[in-house]
Amino acid sequence: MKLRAEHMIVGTTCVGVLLSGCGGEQSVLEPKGDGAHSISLLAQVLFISGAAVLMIVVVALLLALRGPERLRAKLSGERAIVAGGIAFPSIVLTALLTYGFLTMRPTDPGLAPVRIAVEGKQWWWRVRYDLEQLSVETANEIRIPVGTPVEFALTSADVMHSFWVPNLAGKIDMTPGRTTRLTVVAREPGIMRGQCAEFCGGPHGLMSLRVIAMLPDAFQEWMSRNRSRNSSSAGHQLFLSAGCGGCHSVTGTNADGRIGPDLTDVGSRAMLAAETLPNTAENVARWIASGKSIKPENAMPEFKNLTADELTMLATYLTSLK
Amino acid sequence: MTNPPHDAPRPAGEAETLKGIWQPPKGWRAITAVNNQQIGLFYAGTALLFFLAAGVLALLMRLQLAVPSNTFLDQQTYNQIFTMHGTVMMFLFAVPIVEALGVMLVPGMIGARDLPFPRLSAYAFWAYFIGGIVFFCTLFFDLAPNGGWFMYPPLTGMEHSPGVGADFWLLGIGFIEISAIAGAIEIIVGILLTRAPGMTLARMPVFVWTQLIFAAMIIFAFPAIILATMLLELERAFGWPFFQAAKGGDALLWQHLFWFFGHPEVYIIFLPAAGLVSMIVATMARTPLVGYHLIVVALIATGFFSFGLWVHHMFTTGIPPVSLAFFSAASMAVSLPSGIQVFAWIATMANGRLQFTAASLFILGFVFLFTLGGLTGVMLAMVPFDWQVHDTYFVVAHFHYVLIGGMVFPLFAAIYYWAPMLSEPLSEKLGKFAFWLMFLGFNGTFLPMHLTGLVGMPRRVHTYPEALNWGGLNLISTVGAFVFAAGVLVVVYDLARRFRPSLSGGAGNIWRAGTLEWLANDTFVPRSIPRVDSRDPLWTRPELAEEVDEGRWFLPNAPTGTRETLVTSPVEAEPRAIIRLPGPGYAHLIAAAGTAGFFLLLTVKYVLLATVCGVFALVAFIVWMWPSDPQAPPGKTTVEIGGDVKVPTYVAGPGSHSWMAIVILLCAAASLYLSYIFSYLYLWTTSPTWLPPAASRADPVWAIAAAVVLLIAAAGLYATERGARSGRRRQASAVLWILTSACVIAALATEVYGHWQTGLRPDQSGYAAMVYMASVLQAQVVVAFIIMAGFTAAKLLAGRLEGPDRATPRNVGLFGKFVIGQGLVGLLLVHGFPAVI
Repeated sequence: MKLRAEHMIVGTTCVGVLLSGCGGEQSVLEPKGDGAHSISLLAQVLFISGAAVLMIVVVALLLALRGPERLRAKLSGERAIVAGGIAFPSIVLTALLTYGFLTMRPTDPGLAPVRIAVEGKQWWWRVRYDLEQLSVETANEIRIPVGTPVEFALTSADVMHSFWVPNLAGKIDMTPGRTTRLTVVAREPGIMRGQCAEFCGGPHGLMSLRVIAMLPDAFQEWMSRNRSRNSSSAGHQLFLSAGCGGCHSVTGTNADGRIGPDLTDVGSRAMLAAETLPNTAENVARWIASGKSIKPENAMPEFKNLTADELTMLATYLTSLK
Repeated sequence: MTNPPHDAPRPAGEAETLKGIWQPPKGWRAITAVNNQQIGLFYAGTALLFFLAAGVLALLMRLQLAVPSNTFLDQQTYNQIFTMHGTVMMFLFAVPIVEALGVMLVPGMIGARDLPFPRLSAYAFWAYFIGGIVFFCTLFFDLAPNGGWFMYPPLTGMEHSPGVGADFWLLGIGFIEISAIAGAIEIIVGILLTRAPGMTLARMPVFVWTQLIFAAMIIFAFPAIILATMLLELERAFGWPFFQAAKGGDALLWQHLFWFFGHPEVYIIFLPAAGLVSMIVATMARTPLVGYHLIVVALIATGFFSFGLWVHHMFTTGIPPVSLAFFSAASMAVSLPSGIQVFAWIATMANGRLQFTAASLFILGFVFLFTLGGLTGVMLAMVPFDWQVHDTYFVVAHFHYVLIGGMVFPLFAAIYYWAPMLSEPLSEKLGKFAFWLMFLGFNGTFLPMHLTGLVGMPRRVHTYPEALNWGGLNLISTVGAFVFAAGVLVVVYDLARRFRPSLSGGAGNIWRAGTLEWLANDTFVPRSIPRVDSRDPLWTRPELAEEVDEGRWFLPNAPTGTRETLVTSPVEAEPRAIIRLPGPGYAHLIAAAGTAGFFLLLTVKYVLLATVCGVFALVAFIVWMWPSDPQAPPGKTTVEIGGDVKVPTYVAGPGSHSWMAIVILLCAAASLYLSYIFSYLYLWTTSPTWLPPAASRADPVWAIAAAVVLLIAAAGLYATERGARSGRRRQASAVLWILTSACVIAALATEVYGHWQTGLRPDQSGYAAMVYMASVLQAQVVVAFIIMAGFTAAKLLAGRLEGPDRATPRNVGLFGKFVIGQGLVGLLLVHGFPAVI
């Protein structure tokens, strides 16, 4: 009996926590997109049927051990094995499978999707919007319109990665040489966090991203902002002379490197280094001077040659790129 | 019911003679031992050591993850540790411990004195021991692999993993897999040919069934990963771009090969554990197992199904919906056989009265944990749900429930249950205490992890930010892990205090079990070999143990004066022959050290030293095999084993143990080649331009030439076979062996030259690499064949193959036919397939 009490306590706690909806910015349990919603429903069905089956097995086990003779005699025949081990699971599994297939069917979005290409790189995300008139590149932060289908075209520049924003939809892998597609529809505005879910070496744990679902008007406005940057500021001159433009691009300037993230709107992002640090001027300076101690093995060299003043100037310049 | 063929008492001194023949080597010479009980103990002990070591790695990970943004381990160390935890648990603990239990328990359960190839299992053990220790120690030199136990390229390719860690994984693990295949061959032949008379397949203990299926699964599943490791190592060492998309390779090819091995691997570990449960439940409930036939069918079905599930590890790779649906349904269907077994165990408990021993508690814990793990497995088989939780802590929770719950708990039950067979019993009190610590600790660790995954935590991350609120759940898991570890330590303490294995028998049948391993045993287990007429012979014939011990059953002596065991027919188990078995020796030991040295030194690119080790191993193999095909002692061509049953003392050809071993080895080789054919065709499907135009491919003339030379080799083999059967003209036969070898080499050279002269180089493209890979695989079997053929020729010339129908030429001839067949299939694939497409 001790056994059962223990299970019930653990079981109840677990279900309790589940029901209380311990969600979060990166959680399956707080769906904000179409895909995540239907999977969350499926998960509830699975958990309830799973718990029921577990109870049946535990009760059968307890009856077999200490139950009344009559029931034990019933449980001890081959007929019980066929009923419990073949018939019962076949029915449950067929029902679940049918339901699962229905959930898997892609729904026709009806509207033309917004296309966003995301390329996984060790250890950040290159994001490119291919809209009708313009092509915009950014990194690690993806803005999407609410209620409109968004089709992500996913690939990888180096090793396997996996694109996963649990509040929005299930994950899909990013494989070099292949393009995988994921169509999502956000149901409400808000911030969602995603993370690379396929081990990609080194600081795999520090490769996250942010998805911001916006109302369609706000999204249009954000997309159509003037992104051309002034190249005459002292900050920008330092940016160029320090060599930053060799790897990073800033639209409208001579900085057109393609190795690292595009920095045209870096100041507007909430976080730095794929969600590793809050985006403040101090953190930008720290990142430039000693990024490898914050995120070891990342490709960006540490600019130890810059003075404190120069770092501040660069950080001020970068955070101003909004 | 038949009665024993002999009368008691047996002649004086017979038991002593038998004991003398089976005397185990003493002191440090114990390393030369080959007897299954000694090797089984070494094997199990080593595997348990690796379990503890990899467990410590798990605790280190739990410490790192206990709190957010922890800096206890840096990312490089963490990545090495989680890679080693998975690799060591799977390859150095789980598979070896199951194989160890097979080596230790199967001969006893089927009434054999030893396994049919004692030195082969000793070789498999030592190769694993040396290779495993060196592999584990790479961790102390910062040389351990860090690409995950699944080793997905391109991360593990040269560009992203330039260190030797990945090579240690590929060569070290590849080589340990070869040792696993050696052990599997041994177990299959032992089970099919050395069962006690009357033990038909339908009377085999369930554990023996699971070992048979386990070993067969190793034969067909492990070659896929061996091929994968060969491809990746060739890519790393010589730039053959099998997995590089930019050059016509594909990273997903690795995943297919890895999981084609990796999913059966899970059942390879679980099925024998389920077999242990079936044995223990019946004894502890004091009633024969209910639903024996259903269980056996379920086990076989699981074995089959498990080969059709591998894609469920790849549901998120973006494969087409039709495949998703098929593999989803198959993954659900595989839970049916497990359901059958769970209800069969429940039925058995209901039919009898379960005694609450430590072993029983571990079994009850197993039933609960395994059912829970199975249910989360069904959830994961639902493709959309898998899209969310794949590669999160939900999956970590799931597979620890099925692996620790499904395999480690039965293993600990087995430790408490079978210890009295060899030693004093362990402490029931400590065992029960350990069970509760382990059970509560386990659930404390892994139950919250389901939730950790659902709230978004991916696997294999070395840290996580505080803002995500994963800290509390992780802290609970860490505390649970230490409670579990405390439970394991209690068992270790109990073992250290009480477990004193003695080959002359332990406390005996204290559980009053019904199967043969509980016969009074000595170094020669058992004193005589009984005829069996039920599944629980000690229950249906209570006087059996005494009769056996008095030597009244078959083979109570050693008619040829050496170690022997009885060979029976595979299905009905009727006596057919006795085989003479080798005793302790050094050859297999040197061969194992040499093979290990060869692979490990190659990893660190000490080519010269590696070659020296390889030569040592080769010489040791030849010394090992030289005394095979022994002549029967004068007047002992056949001997009586009791009850007027007369059997020969030497057999060769179809149905003999060595022939069967070669057939199984060739099944593994064929499986390796099929994996290659799959890989070739798979890469072909990735791109319409994968095949170069006909004009730039090798002229078919080369293929025809190679095929003709192979057919000449076949004729040569046919001629040697006729010579061998008549037993005459040994010089001519020896020359024919040499000529046949020359032909297979010539065919291989023709094929390689045909491609080379077109300018094709293996590092150019995925296609080129695949073309040359056919020749690499062919070279592998050709080298093995020419060594064997040279060996046969040498034995012929030395006059050691006198008389008709000797095993060596027949078995080598069979291998030769395979080599020729594989060569022809390779030509058809590489030349024929592009021509017809």
